Amino acid sequence: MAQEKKQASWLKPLAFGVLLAVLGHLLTIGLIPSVIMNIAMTRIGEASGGLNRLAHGNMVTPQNQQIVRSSPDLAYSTCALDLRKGPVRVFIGKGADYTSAAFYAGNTDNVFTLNDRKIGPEGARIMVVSARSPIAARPGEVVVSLPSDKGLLLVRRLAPSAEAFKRVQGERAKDYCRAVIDGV
Amino acid sequence: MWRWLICGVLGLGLGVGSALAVSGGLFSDAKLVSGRWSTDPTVGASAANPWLRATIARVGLLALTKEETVYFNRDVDEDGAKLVEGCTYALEGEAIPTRWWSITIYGANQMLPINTDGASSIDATRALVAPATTWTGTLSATRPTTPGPWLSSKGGGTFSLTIRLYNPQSVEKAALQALKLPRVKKISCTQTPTSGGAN
Repeated sequence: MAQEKKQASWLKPLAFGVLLAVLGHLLTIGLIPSVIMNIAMTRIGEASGGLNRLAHGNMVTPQNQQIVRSSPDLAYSTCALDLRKGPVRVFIGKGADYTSAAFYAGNTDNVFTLNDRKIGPEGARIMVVSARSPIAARPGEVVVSLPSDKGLLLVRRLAPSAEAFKRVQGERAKDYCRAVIDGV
Repeated sequence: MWRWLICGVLGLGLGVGSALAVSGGLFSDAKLVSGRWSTDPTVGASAANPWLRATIARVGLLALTKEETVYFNRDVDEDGAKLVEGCTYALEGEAIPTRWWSITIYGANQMLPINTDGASSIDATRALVAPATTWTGTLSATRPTTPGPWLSSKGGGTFSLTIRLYNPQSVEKAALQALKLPRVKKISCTQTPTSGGAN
């Protein structure tokens, strides 16, 4: 009798523990992407001298790598997007080899990617807006709509050698990422 | 009261710990296999489930969708043994129906192994010089004397490889499974390799 009473006294706390385990698991899984994305955006924003600024990375080496699983064959440019005060304009120049501009929402979704096959000789002009931004795109501008006010732009240009990297530095010299309110 | 406290703390710890453990794996729930390489075609897509999304955030943040790039990974050789710094491997590859490809080595912390060899990756432009349609290379901790591209595993410990296929001709499941991706054959070891199962 005493044994049964002792077992019963553990049942509710055990069920409570299982419930917390499930909730803790789901909450952690759900929060990981946005927490890590926020950290990445903060670091990229600091490296660029602020939000809505494009920063060109150096050739990736084991000594200067900033992010997990980066590729030493690519020249990266990054821009932490903040659309709270309005849209952001982006320009990506045409490259001689593989080039892509990938836009990520705050939850890590890759919402849009433009590669060099769709970039004309004059380059690509892109307006990034959030769901609540007024859209006032110019003729010829590609409009990218993010589901969140914050996001990331990651430009990749093929540069598997020092010579290729030098060429890419010239190609991306005119690239920009600027808030419309800053004037473009 | 102490029973509730013990069960609550243990339960919460188990939940958070299991979430971190599950999300720390390298595409552990990969759905598509080609030889010893594996990938999950939902990487980078909005359709990715929360667990894959969390995993990508931790081990492959800012991945592209499969139409732009397919990422195949492996951490075992052709015999299913873990890839380790103490062993030398032969790499054998051929032309892949994709615009461009590259193979990169990553340590257990998902970062490039720390060394000054300048050989953290091999890409199509260096491995396959026209008119060649096949290539052979070396994966080892010391610079090989044989010609061909070299991937340095110095400082890699137990490592993994990622091959990026940019703008593949097809992203259909059957086409990806049929790809003839590079083989990694063990040649010799200076220490007993860690045994491992199939990836």
